[in-house]
Amino acid sequence: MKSLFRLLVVFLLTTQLSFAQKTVTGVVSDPDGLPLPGATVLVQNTTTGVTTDFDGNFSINVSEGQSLEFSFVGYETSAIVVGSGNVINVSLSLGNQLDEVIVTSLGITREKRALGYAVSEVDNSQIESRASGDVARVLSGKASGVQVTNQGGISGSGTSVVIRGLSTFSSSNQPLFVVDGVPFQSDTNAQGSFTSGNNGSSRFLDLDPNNIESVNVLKGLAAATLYGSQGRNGVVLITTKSGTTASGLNAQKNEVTVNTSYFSNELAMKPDYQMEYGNGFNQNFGWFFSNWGPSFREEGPAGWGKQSAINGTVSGQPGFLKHPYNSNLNARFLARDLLPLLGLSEDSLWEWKPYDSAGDLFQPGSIVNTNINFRGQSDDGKVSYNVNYGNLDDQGFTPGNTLRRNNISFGGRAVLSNKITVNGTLNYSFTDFKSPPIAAAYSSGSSDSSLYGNVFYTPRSVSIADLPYAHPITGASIYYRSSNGIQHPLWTVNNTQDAQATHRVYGGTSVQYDISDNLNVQYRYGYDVYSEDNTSYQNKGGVDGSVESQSGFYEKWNNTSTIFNHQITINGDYELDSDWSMTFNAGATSNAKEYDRNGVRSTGQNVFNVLRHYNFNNQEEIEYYSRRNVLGVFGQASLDYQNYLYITLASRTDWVSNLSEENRSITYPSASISFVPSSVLDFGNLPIDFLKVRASYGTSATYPTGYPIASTLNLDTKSFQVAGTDVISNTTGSQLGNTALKPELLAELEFGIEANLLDNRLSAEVSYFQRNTTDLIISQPLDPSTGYTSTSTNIGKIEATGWEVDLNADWIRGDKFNWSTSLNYTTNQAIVVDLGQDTDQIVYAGFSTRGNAAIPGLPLTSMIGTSVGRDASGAPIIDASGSYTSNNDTNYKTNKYALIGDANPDFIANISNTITYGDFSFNFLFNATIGGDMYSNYIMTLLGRGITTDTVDRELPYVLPGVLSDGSPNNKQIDNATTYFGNLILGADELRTWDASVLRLSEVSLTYDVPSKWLDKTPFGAASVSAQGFNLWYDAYNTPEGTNYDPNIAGLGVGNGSGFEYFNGVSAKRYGVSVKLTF
Amino acid sequence: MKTLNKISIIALTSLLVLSSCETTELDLTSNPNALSPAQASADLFMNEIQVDFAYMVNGLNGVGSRLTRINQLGGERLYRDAYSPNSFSGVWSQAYQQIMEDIRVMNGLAAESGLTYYIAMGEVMQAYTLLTLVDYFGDIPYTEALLGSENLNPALDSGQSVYNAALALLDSAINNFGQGGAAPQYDMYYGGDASGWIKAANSIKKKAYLNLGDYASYNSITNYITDSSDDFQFTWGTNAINPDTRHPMYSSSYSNTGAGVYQSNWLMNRLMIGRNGMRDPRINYLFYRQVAQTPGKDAPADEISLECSTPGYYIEPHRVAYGLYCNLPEGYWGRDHGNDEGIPPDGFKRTIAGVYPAGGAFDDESFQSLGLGDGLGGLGITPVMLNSWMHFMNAEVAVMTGGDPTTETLAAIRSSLNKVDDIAGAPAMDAASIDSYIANFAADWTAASSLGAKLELWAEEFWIASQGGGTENYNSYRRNGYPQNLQPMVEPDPGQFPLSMWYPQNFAANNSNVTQKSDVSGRVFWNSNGPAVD
Repeated sequence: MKSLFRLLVVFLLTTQLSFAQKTVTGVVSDPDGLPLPGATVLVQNTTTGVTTDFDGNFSINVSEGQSLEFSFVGYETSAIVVGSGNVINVSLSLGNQLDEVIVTSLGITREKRALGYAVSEVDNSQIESRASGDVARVLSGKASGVQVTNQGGISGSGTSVVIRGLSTFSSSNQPLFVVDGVPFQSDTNAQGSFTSGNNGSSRFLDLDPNNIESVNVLKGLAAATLYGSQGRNGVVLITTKSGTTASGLNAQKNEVTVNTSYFSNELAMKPDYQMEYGNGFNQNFGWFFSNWGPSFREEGPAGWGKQSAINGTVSGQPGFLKHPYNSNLNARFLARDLLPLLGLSEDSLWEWKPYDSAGDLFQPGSIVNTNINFRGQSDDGKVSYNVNYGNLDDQGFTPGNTLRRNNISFGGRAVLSNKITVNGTLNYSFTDFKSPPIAAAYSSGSSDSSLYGNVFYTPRSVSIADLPYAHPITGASIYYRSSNGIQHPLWTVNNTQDAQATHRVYGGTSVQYDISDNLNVQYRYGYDVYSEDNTSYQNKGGVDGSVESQSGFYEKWNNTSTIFNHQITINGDYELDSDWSMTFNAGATSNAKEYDRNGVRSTGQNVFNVLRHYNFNNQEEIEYYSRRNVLGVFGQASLDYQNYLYITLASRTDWVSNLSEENRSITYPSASISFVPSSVLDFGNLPIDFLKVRASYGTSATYPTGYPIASTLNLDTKSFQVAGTDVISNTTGSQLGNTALKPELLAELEFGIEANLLDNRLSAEVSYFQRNTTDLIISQPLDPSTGYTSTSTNIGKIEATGWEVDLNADWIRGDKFNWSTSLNYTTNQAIVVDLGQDTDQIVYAGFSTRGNAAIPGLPLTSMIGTSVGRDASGAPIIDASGSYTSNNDTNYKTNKYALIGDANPDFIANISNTITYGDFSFNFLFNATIGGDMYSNYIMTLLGRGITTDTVDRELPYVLPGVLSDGSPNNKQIDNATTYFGNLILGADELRTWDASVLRLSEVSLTYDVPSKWLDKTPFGAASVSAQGFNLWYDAYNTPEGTNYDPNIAGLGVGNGSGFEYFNGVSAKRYGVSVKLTF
Repeated sequence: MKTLNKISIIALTSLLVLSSCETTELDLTSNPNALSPAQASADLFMNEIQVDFAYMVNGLNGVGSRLTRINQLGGERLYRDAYSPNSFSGVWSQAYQQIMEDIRVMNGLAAESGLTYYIAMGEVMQAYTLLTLVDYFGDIPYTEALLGSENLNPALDSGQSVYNAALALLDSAINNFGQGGAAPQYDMYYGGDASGWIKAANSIKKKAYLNLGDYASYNSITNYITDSSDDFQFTWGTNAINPDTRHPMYSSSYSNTGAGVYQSNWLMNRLMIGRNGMRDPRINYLFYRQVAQTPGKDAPADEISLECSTPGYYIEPHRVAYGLYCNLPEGYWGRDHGNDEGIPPDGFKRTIAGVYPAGGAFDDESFQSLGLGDGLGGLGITPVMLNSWMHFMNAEVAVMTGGDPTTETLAAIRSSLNKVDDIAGAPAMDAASIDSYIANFAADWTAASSLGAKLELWAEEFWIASQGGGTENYNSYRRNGYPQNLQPMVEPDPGQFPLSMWYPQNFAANNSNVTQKSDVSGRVFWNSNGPAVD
């Protein structure tokens, strides 16, 4: 009754005081049509004002003829005279670039000036129309703190993304991908390990970069607290075009955008082959792996004239030898009477000359990429939609490598009433990836038919294309080497394949209910299901690998991985008084991840080239299942004092399902502060337009995957056979279950400064972080005499620090001519501080004797292996035969392998320049990755086998620098093969490690925007055409010149290992044109 | 509208709750990808233990046989590097994490069901494992081993105490075999015959006493392997794929890409020389030649596949032992002790393992290139303890106790010849040639002017009889130093012959109670006064 009375009074007062007043409503939005919550709407020259709600809606009483002033931090203030209408919708244009509003965790939009931590933004112009269909590769170089490593140049191969360097070595360091507010699985399910299999895409490949509106990278822990443990490695927040549907009059008009590109895809890493010497050893001819044979000249000490084998003559022309298939191959492989079936005879000769031995194999592929986008809205602006279709057809330069992808996505948003808004996206993708096997290969073959290994060191006097690859009757591999010890690369191409065909559905729905203008509750359901059909096969008759592989195998399995994510949040926004305002978010979430692998591996092929399980003798199951649930509750409160001081406090508590009850839960808080001195202090004549300092402290946790606390018993149904019957066996599990295992803890302190100078021509952002990881979850190797070989445990500490610098300069701002440069610079290093009492070296990636190791006091990215023996002064000790000694004795006694390098670069810098002149714009991105080491089987083999121009100077003896065992300078002369083959291939690992610094022209493009006046009479609203190139030039200047080495290779697969390459990746260069039309 | 709102909120909340049942389950700690230990079976454990034991014995035999030139030691020129700590990580895991841990868990199940035969088999295999680990490594964990999380750093027990414990296990095994318990479904060594196991246990005790120099205890044991039908050995199969049941020596010699190992020039030469002018009749059983001539000997030099056949390859003066260093004639194409050269394409030319014991092909002198599936397909044996070896050991004990080794040596040789002859799938050896060989040996033996010269002959024969073995030869060589004229390393200064091995990498690096050895010159406890060997 009392309130009714009050209402009546208010009503009477207002009607009396402003008779001509009326209620005006509307929406305030940004230029993209996104609503601006919290914008100020003021009746000009009065103190009457309101702020907009979560959807940018406002409602204000105002008289006709008065002006409404709309303002929001970061946007130009706009004033509109009230006319006869009752609805005013306003779109504010962007003001100062730094005062932008950006999406932070859980999709909460905030002014950038309020953030106490670093966020990098990449917009669609830097992402769309690129030659790579892999969003992570497209992001490479575009945000500081983000390091992207290609597994190789195979189209569709995996990609490693690491933000702010490694923080742990037993769990994943890959960031969380969030697409339109829903966690997105970005796993790389490689087939087998890096030594066998190795093919497998990183599942962010299912995203079409052309459907991306923007990408925000949350780097630190304070930024990602609300994502919980999943956000510990940083978060890549992706907003798709389908997820950007917005209501309000300023949402996009109905339009169609078509984007289509054509690129050529070529092998970039092509060695400079020497043309002077052929197959053999010690200047003698032989059908070997090596290329240390006679020269292609007849005369001279190494001339072929001295070789009794090269005595054939064709048409009077000497310099021929017996064809390898009639001089060489054993009857076991190729009976002589079968030669005619290959077009050969027992008289066939082979010319002694340099062939284009490997070059024939790699042909440029093409990439055709099309994307069509439809977007629009209803007349009242309450319902909007977006439909996107993308198609990618990427033919690799490697024969048998293709990537095809179809994406379709729908997004929609509807304001059902004043109180409820529903939003949804639905995406379907089909990604079909095929490749020949490219697992680790060595200097003489591989364990898994790896194609590259057998191609790049093909001797100069051998030609892949000119030697038949298949036995005319059995189809088995035949090749030049005596005893047929090498698998013919063309046989590999034609008889093996790894494939992954992935159907994926993902998206989410959210329903928001506005309780009041200041408070709403939102429920969001996210789902992401992919079904990855893997096929891996090899026909019988191969040479590489095990007896099983040679018998032919056929594997088919499916990985179905599902995430269900429920989340409910309550969000509030209050002005506490004239100085203070507060927003808060609180909620609960559940995340369930289920991974189910099922399939069959068959071995022992009967009929050649029939790839069905019935055609194989043996079948085995392929099976793995895991499920992990994480429940979380979280809260965040942000305080804003007079728009120049911002304080944010957040906390999250999680419960995880694979730890024992007492260690299941953990709480991690964060706090951040942002202060904008330029808003309160007078800098006088200093050219400072904007200045912000910030600090944050964040924590997070890592949960183990799998089932680390369980003890297991293994069952093998084919342990052995007795009298032809399979014997079944039990054996105790090798992992000691540890019920005391608890989550790994991370804590990070971050400081930053952001400034705009010289009329905003120059902007700078600098961040420094220090992150500690403690209670590391380690698979601790145990002495088997305990009864177990490993256990998961918590020990040790890692301390990481790093700097990130972003600079932007607008050199020239003109009407027609503009030139701006931006630079991002990243450096970080993780040092192992402690590994507990029991161990002081844990090898966590690669081989146990050659891999990445955690060693107290050294970088986490340290590489260990065998080293060269050295005297007290560090000089290499040379043995009696003139070669380097190895340091085995020391390694044995210390139980450790020696440090051979550090894979972490000293710094990464990317410089991007944009020059526009009229309707033309020219852009290039240049990358410098300086420092960091690489162990390279590729370089080792190309030099060790005498293939590249680096080894052409070979007829004089070599003396290795070093000292003899008596301390005197080495004077022992050795020949070329001993120098290169003996030391590089057979010697210590240290000798195969190079500095991997590389300079790279990552991207270059020239774009022409067709002037709109030309388009007036066409159906097109906008049109542009662009010529682009990617990785057109690079130079790893500290590696041997003739190898043309590109060190951007994740040779150990997508994981924590780095700095090792086993012939399992070569890089690509791509160039072409793209056209974008809007109508 | 309000009602609609309420309905939708209720609907949403119930949707969340209903769909969350599975997503909110927090007790998902057991691993669905493997059995739990409670589901174990003693029979299935017994199967795994027996197979793992065979692999471990074969692996350690390989070490002993390469060091003693029965097989070729390649890849390294220095004894120090011949076997690195890392090369023993596998066998250490096999011994403790697999064999002994499985035995420990199986014993619990077997004790519940009164399966004394199972327990006894485990005791024999565990005792052999412990003795052999001490023989190779010296002091090893025993009393603190296999305690899981209770002790992650088991302390070392002295070799002597581990020997004592192993002898006690063997006594217990003999007692348990006497209980008449049921044999497991698969007894892969004695087919359910407890008396065979008892003889094996006693034979292992004897060889332990011989190492200890306790000849009285040695001689007091009489119920041991006195006939080849009681040989303690594992029989491999012919299945190449899933599971691979072939003899590992076969797998490394018979492949589609040619042989992966070389045969020992010393041993082939020893058999070629034979006795008193007679070639050893076992040569075509132990070795298969893929070619009839060897480059640089009876065929032209071939720098492609045998580089050292090139004239002048070895610069004089190199040591000439048995006329070796590089090649033997007649296609006996092997490698010298310590040769570390690269691998030429000779996989279908070099000599490969024969029919005994690898289950390969009998050398019928047809000189074929052999590969996967040829010969017996891997149906060979790995000896753990043979009747012939017992005779050789008896001969040694005779010498040490002042007796005459002749009878036992001749019995040993006859037993070995018969053993090789008895391998299935090869032509029978001419009975006359067995007698003839023994007679020729006896002639050499009689002609031997000293005990030392006799022991040289004795040891050479022991070596020939030990193809497929090696551990007992490594022990014997360290005990008495014979044969003294083994081929030296190609490296003139190879360092000390290993008198014990580096501790395995996964042991030394992960156990804080262990310090890696400083070299390989340390002697195991029973060998503290052993002869100098190299």
